[in-house]
Amino acid sequence: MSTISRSASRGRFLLWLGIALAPLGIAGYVAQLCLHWLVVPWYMPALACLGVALVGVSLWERRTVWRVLALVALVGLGGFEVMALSAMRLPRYTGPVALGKPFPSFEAKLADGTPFTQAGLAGDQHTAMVFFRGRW
Amino acid sequence: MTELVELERRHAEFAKRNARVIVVSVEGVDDARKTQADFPHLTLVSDDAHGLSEAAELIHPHAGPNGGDTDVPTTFLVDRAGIVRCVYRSPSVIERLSPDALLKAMDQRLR
Repeated sequence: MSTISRSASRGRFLLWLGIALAPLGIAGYVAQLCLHWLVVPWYMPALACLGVALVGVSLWERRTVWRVLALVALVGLGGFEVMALSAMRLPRYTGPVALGKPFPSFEAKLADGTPFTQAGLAGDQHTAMVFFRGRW
Repeated sequence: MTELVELERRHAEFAKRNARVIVVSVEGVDDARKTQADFPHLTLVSDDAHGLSEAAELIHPHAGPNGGDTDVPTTFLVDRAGIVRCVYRSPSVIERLSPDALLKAMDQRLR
């Protein structure tokens, strides 16, 4: 009796630990954004996969509908996270801007509407030119 | 915008290296003016005609709001002579070069 009880208890612990890991990854990403740390959160699908493994072990120990549902949900979440992060990958830069060469000629405008061209890059100061996606 | 917050916060360290930070987007002058007001130590460039973004081949078609174009997150370091000294392309649309990494690249690549 006590062996069955211990096994059920261990299985339940693994189930809840596995379920807890997925939201932990999401909470980690929220915390990361609050800290302005802009890196790819590969730990999110990694934690979801670990959760899948733990729930899988708990299901192996005792087959219940709830454990099957938890496993399906975690597989879905982990798969979605992997696909979403993969879809956000960018190709390597292969454009005309090259190390050791002048920046290509261009025309744009400063915020006050005055022209900004290639000639504006040479001067007293070095320049970090950051292309961002916009105010949205 | 998060990257601009961090760049603005570290502006003194760029100034110490005799460097300015120019931030470019394909938004119009009105939006650039608003962003400039929010980040007074950065230099905002409006590239709504895509003259700069197309010269550098950085247009990300239909990736902006309402299916509009936007820039691929990329950072270049250009020295005082106008020569390119560093090219950084984010591996993902959600990843950016941190100010620490940018300052380190400046220390290594710019004289």
